[in-house]
Amino acid sequence: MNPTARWTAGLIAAAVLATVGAAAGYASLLLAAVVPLLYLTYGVLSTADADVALRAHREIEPATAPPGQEVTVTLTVENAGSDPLPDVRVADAVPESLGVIDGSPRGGTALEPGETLWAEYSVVAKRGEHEFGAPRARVRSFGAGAAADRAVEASGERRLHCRLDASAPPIEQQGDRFAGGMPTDSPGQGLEFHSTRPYRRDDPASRIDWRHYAKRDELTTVNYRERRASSVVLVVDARPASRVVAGPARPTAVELAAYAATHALEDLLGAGHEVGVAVVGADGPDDAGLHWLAPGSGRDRRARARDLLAAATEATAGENAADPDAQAARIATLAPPRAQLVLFSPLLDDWPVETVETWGVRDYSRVVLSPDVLTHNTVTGQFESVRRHTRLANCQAAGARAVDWSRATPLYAVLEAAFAADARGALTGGSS
Amino acid sequence: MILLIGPRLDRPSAIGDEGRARAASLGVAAVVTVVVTLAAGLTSGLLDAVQLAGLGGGLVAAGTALLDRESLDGLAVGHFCFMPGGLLCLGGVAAATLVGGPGGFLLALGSTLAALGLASAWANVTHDTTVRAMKQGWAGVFLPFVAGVVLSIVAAFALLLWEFGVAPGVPSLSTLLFLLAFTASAVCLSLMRLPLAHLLAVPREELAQRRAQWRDTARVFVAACLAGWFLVGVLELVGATTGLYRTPGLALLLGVLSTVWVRLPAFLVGVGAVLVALLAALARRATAGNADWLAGPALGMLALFAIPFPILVLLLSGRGGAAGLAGAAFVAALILVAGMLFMLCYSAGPLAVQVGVLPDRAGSLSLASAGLLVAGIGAAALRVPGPVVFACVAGSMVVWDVGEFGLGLTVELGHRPDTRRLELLHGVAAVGLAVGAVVLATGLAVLFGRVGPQGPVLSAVVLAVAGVLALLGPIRG
Repeated sequence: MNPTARWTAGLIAAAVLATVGAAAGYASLLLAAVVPLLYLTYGVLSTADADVALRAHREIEPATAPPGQEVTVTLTVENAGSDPLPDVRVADAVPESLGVIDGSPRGGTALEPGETLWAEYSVVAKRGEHEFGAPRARVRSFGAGAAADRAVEASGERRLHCRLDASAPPIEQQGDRFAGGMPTDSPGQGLEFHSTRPYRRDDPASRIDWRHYAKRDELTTVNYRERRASSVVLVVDARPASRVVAGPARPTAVELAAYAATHALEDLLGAGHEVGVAVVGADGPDDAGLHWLAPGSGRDRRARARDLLAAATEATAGENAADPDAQAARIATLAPPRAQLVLFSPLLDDWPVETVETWGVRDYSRVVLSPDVLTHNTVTGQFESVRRHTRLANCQAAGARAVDWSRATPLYAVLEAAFAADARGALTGGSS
Repeated sequence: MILLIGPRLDRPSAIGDEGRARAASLGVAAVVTVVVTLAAGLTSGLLDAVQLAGLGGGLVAAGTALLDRESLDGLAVGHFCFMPGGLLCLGGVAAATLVGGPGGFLLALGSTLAALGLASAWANVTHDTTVRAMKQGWAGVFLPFVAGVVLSIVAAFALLLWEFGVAPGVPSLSTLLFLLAFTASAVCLSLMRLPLAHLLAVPREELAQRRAQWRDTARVFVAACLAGWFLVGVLELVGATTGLYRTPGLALLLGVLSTVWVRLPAFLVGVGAVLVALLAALARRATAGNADWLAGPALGMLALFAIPFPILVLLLSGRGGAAGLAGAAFVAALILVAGMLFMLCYSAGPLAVQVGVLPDRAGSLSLASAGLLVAGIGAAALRVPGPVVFACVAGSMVVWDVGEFGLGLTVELGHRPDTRRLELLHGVAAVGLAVGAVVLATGLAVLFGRVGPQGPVLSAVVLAVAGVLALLGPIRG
């Protein structure tokens, strides 16, 4: 129990009143000195018990999230005792690595027995595991004469897991629809109608156009737009220039790029494509300093690609790091012919534009997916934003499909724009 | 707190906004302050003076908060609240002192401080804010002096130029050269200052080249004129040119060149060019987004005179004073002195925070609480009924209690959580304790009144209070 030091002013007031009253002979002033003394006495006699019955519960929604996702934390503290608590103040122990972007992890109120105090706030997920500590509670006596502090163990969730492959529900439900099998202009097996042709002996019965047979008494076979597997190389721009954040406690552009690449990886592998991964701007094992995983498929390839993308978020490159241009050239030599190169970059300098132009010389199909990490409420932020949009346009002019991933846009919609619409061009090998 | 016209005081960043932690606490403190000061004013017979002083205190606080704004409208409204509010405070305190003596002075001063402190707490006035307001206020008070000195110098220079350059007593070539040097300098200055690139369809590079040429030509011309003025002037002084000037043709030419009709256009061109250059420089600074240094003092000076001057003239003319130019000058001087006196009093606040007498964040609340305490002492000196004195002191305690509680809430929980219930509960406790304390003190007063007159009873009370004070320290540790 700690008596608060609020009434030192009362002591001074009483002394002043008594002195002036005695000196000037004002009896009313002398008696008025009783007033602050009464406050002072009340403060001295006040007690606050730290050992009150408080029950805390914490909910983290969602407990597993990808970088950049807003996570809502709800802390409830209940007065589980039988006495009312006139002044309860609670502060949740938010991990230092996370920043609160909305709401407050603190709260204060008077609690009747059984009554509950709510504190709801939002944090932005950053890659890693974040453990919440025990909330702190401060209980004060009626009139706030004394205060006592204590930690309250909270039931419920204690950890926020932030992983690149934490799948948001729309991706899981619809992933194959958007970024899956790449349809071609060639007739064959598939889902989408392409044309009809005369029936051949080996054609399966499911492809016979029975309606046509009923009308014309001729067997015809339906051709669908053929879907083939393709090679896709996901290139993450992890150069120091891209390791920037949109604001305090927000994930870096590299984390966002790796998150988008991880989802693209999952969807493309799920659709049967061969997927490779390259990380530019980090000290890699390759001669050019490149992290490289050749296109392939299968469970093992998926795990290695995930690890590589996760490592990209923690990658460092010192002063003597390899030249990104050399790494980009290396990717162009390592990637299979007619592969699709997908560059994930925030486009904060001209390197991505030049790289896309260089890859275009080798006739690769290219996609640029750019997470927006710029602030738009400052003059410099708006200026940079204009420059970034110019770079997006330049990428487009260089023959690449440039997709802007603004913060308000869900990732699945961005991936749809990046892959589904460009699919035909990817497999025909031409630029869109 | 919202002004009906003009910029809002309750900006989102301000403490005390709706839903913010301190709003309910400050609401309780405001109600208690108003009730107590009105009660003291009513029972002492100084209600008008107390209201005047309190209103002035509130206006000064609003002005202080608004003078921290960067916008011109905030600055303007701030000055028009700050200076007239300060003069209202002085007027209220002066009126209370004239009517009630030292007691009236203390009561009005306490009411002013309470209103100023409470309004400052609402408007989130901090030490930095008061320092900025202090600078703006002093600039507004000093500007009339500075403007007077500058205008006097300009007038003296213009008079000299007129006497010796435009309308010389005798025909003189040196004065003509001096006039030409002045006009050429002024024209060159205005050409340098005017935004010619915007006014003329001339490319910037070309304009810069032209300006450089003009500057060089003007320098040579001015230097030649000044050198000629010096040489010819010396020759004229020693009388070496008297014979030459009497040559018939030259005498006629000099006579024509020394007439007002020839020299006046050159003089007017020079004066006009100086004014244009001055206007261009002021406009450039004012439109550069940093007009505080210019607009602040000008608005301060305007606010100092615009409202108080006509009111005072009307008041004094009704009593036979302030007639004519002398009366107006007297009123202006009175306002100027009052403004300086107010600024001296106001500057004590930031100074007190600077030396650590007043806390920074809780300074406004300390001021409000101390104001009510001073008002209580004033009420006691005015021999108002005891319960009113006790109420003033209890009000002081309540203001400190709820204000400090609300401030602590802001510090511990921030602005976002809703703490209205907590604050109101504490407010009820604080007011309840205050009512109990007033009842107790009143009971004691009644008891002592029945037991006997002042002498021994007073000594006993003094001893009791001193004993309690001495005991409470060790108990609190």
